[in-house]
Amino acid sequence: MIKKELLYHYFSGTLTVAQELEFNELLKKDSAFKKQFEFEKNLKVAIKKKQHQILKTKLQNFEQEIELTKQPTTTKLKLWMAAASIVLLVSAGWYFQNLSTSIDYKTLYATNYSKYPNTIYSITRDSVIDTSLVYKAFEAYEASDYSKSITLFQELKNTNNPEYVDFYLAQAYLNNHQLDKAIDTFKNIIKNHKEFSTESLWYLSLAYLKSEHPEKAKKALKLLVENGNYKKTESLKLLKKLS
Amino acid sequence: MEKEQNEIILRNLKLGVDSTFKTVYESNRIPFLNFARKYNLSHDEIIDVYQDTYIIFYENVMSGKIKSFTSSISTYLFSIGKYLILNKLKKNKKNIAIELVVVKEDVEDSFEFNTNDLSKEQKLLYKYFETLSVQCQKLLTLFYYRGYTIKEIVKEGNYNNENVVKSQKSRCMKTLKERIKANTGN
Repeated sequence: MIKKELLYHYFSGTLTVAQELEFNELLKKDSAFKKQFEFEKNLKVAIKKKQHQILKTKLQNFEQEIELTKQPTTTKLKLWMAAASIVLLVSAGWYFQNLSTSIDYKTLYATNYSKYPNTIYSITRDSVIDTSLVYKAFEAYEASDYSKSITLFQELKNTNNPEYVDFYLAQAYLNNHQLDKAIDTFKNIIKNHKEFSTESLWYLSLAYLKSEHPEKAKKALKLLVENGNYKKTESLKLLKKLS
Repeated sequence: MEKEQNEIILRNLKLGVDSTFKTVYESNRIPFLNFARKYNLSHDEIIDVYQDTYIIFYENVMSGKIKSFTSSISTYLFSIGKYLILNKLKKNKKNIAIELVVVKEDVEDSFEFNTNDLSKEQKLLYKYFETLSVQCQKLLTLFYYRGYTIKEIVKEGNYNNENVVKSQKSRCMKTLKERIKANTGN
């Protein structure tokens, strides 16, 4: 076989057993062949290195974009987010249910809960038909068709996975009476400092109320009160009722 | 559903679809940063490791070493990342060296790394490769990096037939050799 062809098959990974034997023989005996082989092998490494550089630059640019789009967060906010995630994780193992009181948690939940509005995608309902997944997902969410919106948000999560999707998915779970899933998803948003972390803390406390875990709800509410203004008045009122 | 999704991602990565390359990087970024935090590295160091990890993952997909996803993408990234982090830390800590031995066997069997420094010859090739025409660079990259066959290059680069590709590939390599020779006497 022509030497060039042998090298070609080697680098394409298509050498047959017989060709491999011939190839190894030539490497031992034919110094020009060996030289060409070394040249191509080194060229492969050099090209790989160059591609590494190109990819690295690309990723560094992604990072810059991420930094630029990040909303400015104060150190304080970061600190309480960290504290919140620790407390939530630690408290997961040792809650107790307050069964002896007469507080009706479900009613408390119902009076405090209002669905978070769709701030992401405008649903215009004009003559132009929008068939995008994100449109369909928010259309179902706005129409309070939660099981449909769960399916669509999950699909969105599996494809584009925009940062906001977990928050709306959790909202839909909460309304669809899938409380464990809602709680896990809100916790995950808070833990990972994702978009809507602050809001998630409020809805997490409501999810705990709905599932009749008042101690956990109180912890979440206290964190919310201590560290920001979002739903502060409502949180304080709720805390009073729960104490 | 997830399986189908992963197959689409795998196929798009292999085809070099830019948007998929970006989405996969972005969607695994926060889980990776959280995972890497326990190793006491600065934020910038973690980002650096994540990028190197992602490149290795990507290249293993491209080279066909990863043929299908048997676990989630983040699992792959965590195991490569752990290996890179431990390597980085091993110089000053004994217990890490021990942990590394355990991780090493597993990871080195599953992925190709090739993160070594370039030899003298490779550095010259790196330098003069960049002086080649765009067409030459593309052709050689498709063959040696992307693992395309000559037949696939014919299709990709709108060549007339395989012989044209073969002779152009030879010419590109010849030019490269001549340039190195002219500048270094090698």
